[in-house]
Amino acid sequence: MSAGNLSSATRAESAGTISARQQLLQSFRDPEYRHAFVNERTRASVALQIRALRQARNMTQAALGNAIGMAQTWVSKLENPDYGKMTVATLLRLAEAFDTDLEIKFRPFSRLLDALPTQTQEYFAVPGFDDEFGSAKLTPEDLSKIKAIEDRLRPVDQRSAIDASAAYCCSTQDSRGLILLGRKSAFTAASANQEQYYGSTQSSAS
Amino acid sequence: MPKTAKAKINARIAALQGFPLFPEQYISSYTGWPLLELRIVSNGVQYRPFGFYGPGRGQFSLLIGGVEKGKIPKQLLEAANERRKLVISDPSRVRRHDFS
Repeated sequence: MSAGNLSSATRAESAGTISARQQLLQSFRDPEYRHAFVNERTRASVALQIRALRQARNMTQAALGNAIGMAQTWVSKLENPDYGKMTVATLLRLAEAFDTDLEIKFRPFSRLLDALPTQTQEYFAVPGFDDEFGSAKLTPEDLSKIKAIEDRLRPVDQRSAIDASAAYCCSTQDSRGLILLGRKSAFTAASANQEQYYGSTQSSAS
Repeated sequence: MPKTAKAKINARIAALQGFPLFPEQYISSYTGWPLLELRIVSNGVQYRPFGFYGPGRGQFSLLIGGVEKGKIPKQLLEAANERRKLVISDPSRVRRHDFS
């Protein structure tokens, strides 16, 4: 496929997505329709995700059942979109078995419309904690990342003068946020060498 | 078709659309025919849309719908199979699913 064809295919795909959203919005004007849609969509999505997460972890239904204290037949029911009677307690046990967070929240229909036409298989994939953060002890790099997040969350007026100065100096060197934060945390972590860093950033900025 | 059944079928299709192959709880092959059927129950009625994987890679085409319990009339299956052959020979006849 040439670049031109690919481009027009992408445009067509985009137009199709908008069209699907418009069609759904029109149908959602009817409360009976939209509530039936939410009912089925929730059941099917939860069942699909349980299955997808189990398979991603190479678990059989029996193994998952063992992990959550249920028989294999119950796991089969949980993966059946027509069952739909799982409790929050069961979902929490599944989250523990999959080593993931569990978020149950109400949301506006606009979010549903945005998500649906572009919902791909990746939508259902969730890494476990170890896959996301690793199981080893925290490395200096991890600590630096955590410090950067903490710095970002802390109000500006609570940051030390050297932090603010370092952030300013780094921002003149590199406008990319993550690098800026990483460097800023490096300044904070290296408090023993403040003079040296302060001096070097001053010279960089000048 | 009742609107709740329509909503349920559309929601099921929307949930499955990201999967290149649908899990077996959602789809089954119809013995003796190169067709697959989705089974969706709404208010005690079993809706059975027939389709097949194709014509393109990662595509699933819906061909015809049935509501009968048990055996599906041969006429309906023949019509579905004719449509399957038609879209395979001319993929331009495939249309995106209409959610309205």
